[in-house]
Formats: sequence, C-alpha cells, structure tokens
Amino acid sequence: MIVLTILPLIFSITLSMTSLSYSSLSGPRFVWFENYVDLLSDDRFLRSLWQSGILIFGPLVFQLIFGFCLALVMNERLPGLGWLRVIFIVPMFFPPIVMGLMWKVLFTPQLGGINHYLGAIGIDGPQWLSNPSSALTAIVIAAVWGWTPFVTIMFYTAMQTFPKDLYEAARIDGATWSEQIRFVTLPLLRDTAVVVIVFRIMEGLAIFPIIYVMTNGGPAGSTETTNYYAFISGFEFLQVGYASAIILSFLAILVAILAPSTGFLLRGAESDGDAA
Amino acid sequence: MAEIQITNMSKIYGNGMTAVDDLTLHIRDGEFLVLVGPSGCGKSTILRMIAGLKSISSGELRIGDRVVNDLEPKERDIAMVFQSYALYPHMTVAENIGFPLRLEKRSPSEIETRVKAAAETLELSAYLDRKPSQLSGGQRQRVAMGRAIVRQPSVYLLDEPLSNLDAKLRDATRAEMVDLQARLGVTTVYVTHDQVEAMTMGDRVAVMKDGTLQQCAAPRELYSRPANQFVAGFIGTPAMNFIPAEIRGDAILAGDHAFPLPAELSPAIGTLPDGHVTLGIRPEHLSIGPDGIPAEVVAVEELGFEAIVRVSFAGAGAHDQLIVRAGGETEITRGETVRIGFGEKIHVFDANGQRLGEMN
Amino acid sequence: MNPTNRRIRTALYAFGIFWGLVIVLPFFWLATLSVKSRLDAFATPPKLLFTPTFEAYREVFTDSDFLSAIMNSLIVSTGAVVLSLVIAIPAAFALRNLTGPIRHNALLTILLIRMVPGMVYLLPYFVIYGRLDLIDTRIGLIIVHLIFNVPLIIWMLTPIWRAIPRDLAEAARVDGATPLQTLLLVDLPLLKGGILASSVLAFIFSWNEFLFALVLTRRDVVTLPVAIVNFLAFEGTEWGKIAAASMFIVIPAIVFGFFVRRYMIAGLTGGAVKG
Repeated sequence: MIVLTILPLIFSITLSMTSLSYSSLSGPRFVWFENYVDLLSDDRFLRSLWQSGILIFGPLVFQLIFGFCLALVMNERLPGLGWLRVIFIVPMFFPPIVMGLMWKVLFTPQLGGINHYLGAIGIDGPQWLSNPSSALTAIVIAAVWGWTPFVTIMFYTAMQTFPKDLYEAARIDGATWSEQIRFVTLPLLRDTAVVVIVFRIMEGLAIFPIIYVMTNGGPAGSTETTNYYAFISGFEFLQVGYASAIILSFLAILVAILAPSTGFLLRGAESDGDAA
Repeated sequence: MAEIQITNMSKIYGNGMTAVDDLTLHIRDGEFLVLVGPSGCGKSTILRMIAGLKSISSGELRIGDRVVNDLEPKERDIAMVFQSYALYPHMTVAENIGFPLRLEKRSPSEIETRVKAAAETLELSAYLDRKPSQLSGGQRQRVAMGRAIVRQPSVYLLDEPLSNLDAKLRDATRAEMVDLQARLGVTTVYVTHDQVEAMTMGDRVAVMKDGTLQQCAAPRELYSRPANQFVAGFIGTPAMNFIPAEIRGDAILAGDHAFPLPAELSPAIGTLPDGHVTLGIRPEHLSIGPDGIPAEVVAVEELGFEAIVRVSFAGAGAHDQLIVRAGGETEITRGETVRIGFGEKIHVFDANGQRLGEMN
Repeated sequence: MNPTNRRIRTALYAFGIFWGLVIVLPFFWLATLSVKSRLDAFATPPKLLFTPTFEAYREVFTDSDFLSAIMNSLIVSTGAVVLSLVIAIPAAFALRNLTGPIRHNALLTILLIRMVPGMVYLLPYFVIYGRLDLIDTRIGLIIVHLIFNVPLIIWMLTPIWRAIPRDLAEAARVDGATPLQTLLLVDLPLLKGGILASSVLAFIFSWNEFLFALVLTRRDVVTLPVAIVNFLAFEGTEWGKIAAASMFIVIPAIVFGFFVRRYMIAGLTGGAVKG
C-alpha cells in the first residue's frame, strides 16, 4: 500500500516542480517552485478556489441542517415513516456519474420538467445549466441530494447510541421534547458533527463527475472547481507538472484548514479500537 | 501425569515492570494447586507462562522431566480453561471439544469416541450439536472443561473458571471440579482471586502478592500459621484483626492492655531494633464476655448461625476497630459497651510483617 | 406535549415525507425516461401517462461498446475486490495485533490516505502508467482501485476483528493450532459477515468509480460509468438510451447496497466515529 500511495504522492510533489508537459516539444525541466509562483497570478486558479469553496460549503450547510432533521425523523420513529429509513440512504449507493446525468436530465428544459412544474406554482425557472449563477445552484442541489444521506446516517447512528437514561432524566427534570433535543441531543452530536464536517470538506470535491456531465465546468468556467481545473490542465492541456502544482496547493489548503481536527479524528479511532 | 518444577522463574516486561519475581515452586504429580492473590499479583501471568502463552524472562520451567521454557503450548502436554471459556462461537459443542484432537490430526472416528466420552463425563451428551450461544453459563463452563479433558493432558491449567457463574452454581461446580480432578488424578494449577475457592479446592495454596510468592502451604496451615501479615490478612473472612503493639520488658503493650511475653517468643523479639510489633487476632479468637477490655459496639451483622460484631477498641484509636465473631444467639446491640476477651491465639508479626510466632 | 412541540413534530413529519419524495421523484423521472419513446421524452407539458417502450434497453444491450463495458466493469470491480482482500486481510490481522501508538498512527495514516482527493493520485499514476504501458489495461485500473478499497476493507474488518476476544486465539494456541490454523479455523469463520459486507461495499465503489476510469482508459477497457458518458458525447440526444444504461448501473448498486447498509458508516469513515 505504501508503494501504491505514498510513493505516488512523493512523485506528485516532484512532478509539481517540473515543467512536464505532453503538449510541449521541449523535455521536462526541474523548475523548483516556479509552478507554485505562477499559480499566485493565475486568475483561473484563484477563481477555481473561490468556486470550490462555494461548492464545498454551500451544500455542506444544507446537508447539515437537512441531515439533522432527517436523522431526527428516523430516530423519532414517527408512525408511517418506517419506509423512509430505506429511501433516505439510496443516494449513497448512486454512482455519482448517474447522479449527474439524472440532474442534467431534470434541469434540461423540456426533458426534465422542473421548470414546467415550477411554472405551475408561479415560478419562472431559469435556464438552469446555461446561466452561471443558476448552474452553481443546480450543482449545489445535486450535491445536497447526493450527500445528505451520509450526514443523516452519521447523525442517526450517533443518536442511536445516546443513553435512554439521559432523556428520561431530562424529562424528570421537566424538559419538553424540543428542550431534550436542544439540551441533550445537540450537545451530544457535537463530536459527530466535527467528523461529518471534516469528511464533507475533505471529500467535497468528489462531486467531480456531477460537474463533468452537468456543466463541464461552465458556463464560462462558472462551475470549475480546483480539481476540475487540475483535470483540464493535466489531461486536456497536458501540462502535468502545472496540474500537479494546482492539486497539491489545493490539498495543502485543505490540510491547513483541517489539521487542527485530525487529533480529534484520531481520538475517535482510538476509542473505537480500544474496546477490547 | 507430571509434576511441575518452577525454578527462579521471572517475568519482566519491556518497560521494566516485573510481573513475576524469582518464583520457585514445586507442584507435585496429581496435585491440585491453587494460585491466589489480589488482582495484579502475577498469578495469571504465572499460569500463562506455564501454558506457554507468555514467554519466560529468566529461570527454568519443567513439566515432567522436560524443560519447556521454549516449547510451544501444544508441545507442553497441557490444557487450559479460560476465564471467559473462550469457546469458538461458530463451532458446535462437539466441534469445540474435538478441536484439539482435530488439530492433532486424529481420525474422525477417534475424535467422535473421545468427544462422546468427555461429554459423558461432564453430562453434556444432550448438547453436542448446540452452539455455545445456546448454552447456559454452567454448560459453557463444562464445555470448556471438556475441551481440556478430551486431550488427556498431563497438566490442567484453570484460569478463574468459576468467576462467570452465579454464586449458587459456583458452589456446586466447585465440588464437582474437585471431584473430577481427584478422579482423573491430573496435576492441576488453578488461578483464582477468591480465597474461599482457594481454601476449599486446593491441596495446597500458593499466595501471591506483587509478583512474589508469599507462602505455599496446605489450606489449614495457611490459616493457622500464615507466613506474614499479608497472608494472614488475605486468608479468612472476616479478616484477621491487626493491633499495633510495643514490647516493654517482659510484656507486650497494646493500647492500655498488657500481655505477658511468652518465653518461646523472646529470642525472636530480642533481635527487633525498636520493639514495635503487630498483633494479629482472628475474629473467632476474640470473645465477648464478663472479662476483658471494654469496647463500644459499632455494628452488628446478624448472620443467623453467628454474628459479626464490630467494636471500637478504646485504647487503639477511633479508626482501629476490631471484628469479633460471636455466637448466633447474642443479644448485643449497637452502642452497647461490651468486654472483649483476648487470649485464645494471638499471632505476632514484626514491623516488616513477618510472623514471629504466636501467643496462646 | 405542548403546542410548539407538536408544531415542530408536524413540520418534521412533513419534511420527512417531502424528502422521501425528493429522493424518489428524480429517480422515478429517470426511470420513466428509459421507457419513453423519444417523442414522449420531449413532450411539453411532460407526459405522465405514456405507452412504455423497451426500445432503449434493446438498443443498449445490442450496443457492443456497452456490452464490453459491462464485462470490463465486472472484471475490474471483481478483480479490485479480490486483490484488495488479499492485501487488506493480513493488514487488518497485523493491526489487530498491534497496540498503542503504532496502531493509532497506522490507522490514522490509512484514514488520511483514503481522504486525499483522487485527483492528487491521478496525475502521478497517469505519468507512471504512461511509462509502464498500463493505460487502458484492466490490471492498471484494478491497481488504482486498491488505493480506496484496501483502506475501506481494513477499516471495516479491524473493529470486528478486535471485537473477537483475544482468549479465542490463545485457546486455539493451547489447543495446538499454528497461527495460520488460528487464522483459518477461528478468525476467518467469525469474520465471514464482515468480509462479505466489506467486499460488497468495495465492489460498489469500484463499480461506481468514474474519475480514474475516465483518465486511465481509452477504448479497450472502458467501464460502465465512462461508457455512459460516451453515449452523451457521441449520441447527444439519445436520452432514452442514456437513461436505460443508467438504470442498469444504478440498480445493482442500490440492491447490493441495501444489504450492506448497516456497514456503510464504518466503510466511509474508518471508525472515526464513536459507536
């Protein structure tokens, strides 16, 4: 596994310091940090960072809120909603590429009917995928659909482990149902929420296939995330060295944001393992 | 059949912790030896070293006439019963019992015969096709025993095999196990933290503390002539009373009470640097009667056939209470002042806890 | 229950039903598209009642590119699972026996390896595969899938393995089993469920994987997710065919996923969640 993962990572760092390009006739040179310096003045890169932020954090907000509500729905065992527990998790097994195709269909005028039904309730839907801001919205919607189940299941699984005694004690102490949620459930969910947020940020750009089929990063580059830009640079422009610098810079930013919480993840893994 | 000879055996972990310190112990052929001590005293470590599950840091371990220090467990001709029973959950009772034979590559027919015989001995014949999860605690314990006896090894190693049973079943099983061991006549090392189990089951009992053997003797000997204050306090319920005392000339002073110093103790006591000793008196060797030291009754535990009376002994400070075993028909109540008679048998320990002798 | 709480609960109830519809309706829409004629597909307003036609499925299953993509997907996913098991089972065994900081660091490393975005691995693999002539080969694709599947299986098996009491292994040793016999006769039978579940999950991930397949295949070993995208590129308006092919990919993933859903969390987060 080290051969398969660590070595390629090291190789990738080396690549990012070369001018390797399959579209250029000159051979690769070792250029140290030139690629990284170039990135600082590459507007397309900076814009892709901004758009990555939108497409990671935008869906995350909805995923957390919806995921929490749905976990409550599952946990409360509301009558007649048992079947929902099965339905809720379906998107987790969806191939992302099919998810993208499905939403492309839905957002395509005539084919999808979203605008037809929006019109029926008096909303004039935009040309979803051909307009920059609505294209971003469309992708956020698809990402919320696809990854809310992960958050739901994480919260629900955590809720299942909360001791019943706590809720009974809270009731004896006079807490109403909503107060139990606020003073017992929410504080207990904090650790899980941290884990969820870390994972969703780290894997937020796994929406790549969705962008690939829905918008191709467009229109006018408005939905191009950093990994998408690295993909274009590496496999369309064939500037592999530069593309490596792009994606490694992005990884460095992610790590910088998330580093404080890795100790937290470790603690989770530890308590999981030391039961024996 | 085999004897076990342990010579200067130690277990020292990588971090420098000594779990077993220089143990020398001879376990006779066919003997039922109990290793007892508080948790962390090294008793389980010794058992695992004999089994071959833990390596021996130094010293020698012989089973029969072979040095087995470096042999794998299966080459030592031993069988072990674990505290958790360690039954394989995916195998039936018959498969569990037959597992060691299967690993010895015995023929299926031989395995079947021997498993049936073992099951017969342990009254498990009706359950051979069940999985461990379908058995009661007592049945599981017997399956674990079955897996040990089916191999006909020369040594049984038992690691707290009764601790997962409820109290009633434990008493019954205790007697069954002693009976079984006596019938099979196989050398047995039995680990427990329960001194009642140790006293009732062992031919001899080895008391451990902090990795060091304190005393190895027959139960009666342990009780009546404990080698030191630890053994004296560990064996027997309620525990032995300890009273600090001082040697003054020909007398031992405990609080306001003076005992004449018996002649046979004089030589031992003469060597003590400062004359401080501890007196040890078992609850049954104190009496409540017309004579003796006045003491206040702090609590009475009425057990029917006897009563355990806790008294505060005026001279020995408020926290020094004495426990007295009184007859079942006492009319003693809390707060009453009674007179405590000393005298039947008093053990004398030096400042290091070593037993010097006794006074009668 | 006071009125506020009742209102909140009612709202939750409504939201649950709403979300159920949000999940089901788009999928339903895609499913109907796969059995609509082209005319019905583009009808305005959308046609909810139509005569189903299985023409799209017929076209898909007579398309030789698609048939070869099915084969490729099956071979790559199965191969990736088998090879992952071969690596992950001994690794999980070693992790079970490790203690203290070494195990923590090993688990954390495995966790981080899995969390690194795929694109980071893709570039060096692209260059290396170019040199080694592994682009557009099944084995090349199988190897990159190991990056994700091996950690997945290790995570799922380690906690299950640690839950097996250590006494069992010691008992087996006293009973005369070699370490290999202990593994085969005691541990593996008890891990059967976990191994099966993690294999299924790994299979689903390989089956669904798109990015690596897109870049590291050309023509010969194109897998299903890439094949569908090719439909989109070359036959832009064949929505019925795309929908039918999508159904073919998604339904096995959901059906298999349904059986292993209980294990999903461990597989996704590597035990980073307590409980």
